[in-house]
Amino acid sequence: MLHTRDINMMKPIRYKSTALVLTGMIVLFSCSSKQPVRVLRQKVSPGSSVAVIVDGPNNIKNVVLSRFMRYKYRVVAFNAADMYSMKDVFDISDFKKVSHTVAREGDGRSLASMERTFDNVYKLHVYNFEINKAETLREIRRNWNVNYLILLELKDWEEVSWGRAINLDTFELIWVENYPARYNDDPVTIVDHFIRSMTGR
Amino acid sequence: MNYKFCFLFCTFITTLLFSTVSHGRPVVAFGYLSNESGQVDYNYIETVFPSSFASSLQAIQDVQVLKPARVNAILYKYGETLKKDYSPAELPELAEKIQSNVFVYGKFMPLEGNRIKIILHLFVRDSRELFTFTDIGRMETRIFRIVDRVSIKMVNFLGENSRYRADPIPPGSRIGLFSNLKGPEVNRLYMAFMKKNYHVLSVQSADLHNIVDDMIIDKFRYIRTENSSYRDIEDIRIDPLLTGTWAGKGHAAALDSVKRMYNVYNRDYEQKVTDAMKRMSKAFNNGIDYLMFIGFSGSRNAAWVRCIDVRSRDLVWMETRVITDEDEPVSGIVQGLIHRMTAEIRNPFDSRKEVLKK
Repeated sequence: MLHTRDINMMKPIRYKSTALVLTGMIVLFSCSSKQPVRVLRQKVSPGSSVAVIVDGPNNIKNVVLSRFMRYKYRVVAFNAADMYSMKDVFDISDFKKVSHTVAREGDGRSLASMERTFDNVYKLHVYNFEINKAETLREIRRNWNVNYLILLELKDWEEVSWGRAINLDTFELIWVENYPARYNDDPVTIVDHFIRSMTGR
Repeated sequence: MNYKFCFLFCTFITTLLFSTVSHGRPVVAFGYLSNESGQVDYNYIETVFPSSFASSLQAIQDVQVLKPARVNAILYKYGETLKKDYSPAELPELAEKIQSNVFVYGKFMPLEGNRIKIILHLFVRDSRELFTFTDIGRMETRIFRIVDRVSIKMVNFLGENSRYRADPIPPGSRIGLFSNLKGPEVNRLYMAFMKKNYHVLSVQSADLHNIVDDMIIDKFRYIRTENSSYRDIEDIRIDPLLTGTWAGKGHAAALDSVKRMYNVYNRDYEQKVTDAMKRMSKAFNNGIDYLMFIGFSGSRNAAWVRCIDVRSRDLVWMETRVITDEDEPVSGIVQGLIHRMTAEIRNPFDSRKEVLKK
């Protein structure tokens, strides 16, 4: 039979174990979004000519490029700003205004047929965007002799960073990785990790 | 007191019965399969095929079917007859008149090499959606083989997941993937395909930031290609573009522009898609096989998929209401999709034939 004193002694243990279980569950759930992802279909060998596109502060961008150069990659000066600031180009919401202007008299409802027309223009725009991008990548390969396009996202490097490599001869994705930061990691160690990962080391 | 109870009881039973009748089995009505060959010898197929599709469907699903003759009889009450072809805009009114949940019609034409092309339209009244698919196959001497081949696709579409797949999409295929996923979860999508030996191309994967958000991906739920499509019905006729003597020159010019825009981007939209697919194929050095759109829900545990064969420029696969209860939902959804991309489509008629043999 338990005395009140025993029960009181048990309480902190119970709270402690509950807290531990809860912490464990929270860690488990938060980890599910941080589970590492890695596939390497083809190695990106040192000596290759690469265009590296980085999302992160400018000081980190320089760190990234210098690490690639240190690993003997031929880093091509590539201004991604033109290619990746297409928000305005992509925004065709003006057309939506047209479809709403042509509204039914009286009730102010926009035409369903024009809404569909608007949707179709949007879809064709997405197709054309991808076609133009593929043509741009082909130009990069041909004119600048770039073998691989490498994309690195280090904006949230303290949590998860991710990277991809595309073979510009085949347009094929050859490496992807999500890397959850470990204790003692910094942008340099993360980029070094990515480089080792894509070279298959 | 007893009489009152009896009256109430009878009223309750009657209400129950009526509700059962009004919410009974779904009604699937069949129109003609129009003969496009110009040869009168084939005219008998116009009603034989739809009636056979109806019998096949009824044999494996709990539905009430209306064959063309019955549909014709219903329309007679309205002073109309069943037509061989309908424009999409006419379908909602037709389905309302014949009180069918689904209306199926289409056309066929014999091709060279002893083959037959069947184009079937399935209109769903509640959602006002129209699904069209094209089946090209051998002109079998045993008619049930053709009926089975087409009926499988029809049955799958009418199922819970609105599933349709023309052919398997085998590993080794080169695929461009579109989704509304963001950040690291996009790599999870790519990983699932790459690990199953699909070649993922630089469609969207060359972007640091995905511009395709929930609103844009939702537009791809409906796909129209030349031979097969999944669309909703809208009717330009009920949206009159008003004009008259009161309208000035500017108004007339604006109206002309709107009509031109409608004709190019809506009426003739399939042609635009075909052109886009040709240019896409060229841009990727003829190295792209499929373009796949996967729309994920906010919680990522539900999705839909649409897939276009870039070479044939045709919708070849679609599924709706794909769900998962995996801890990592993106991987769960994609693994299920990849399995069904390659798995053999079960022929529901095989099990029926097995039962009949026994």
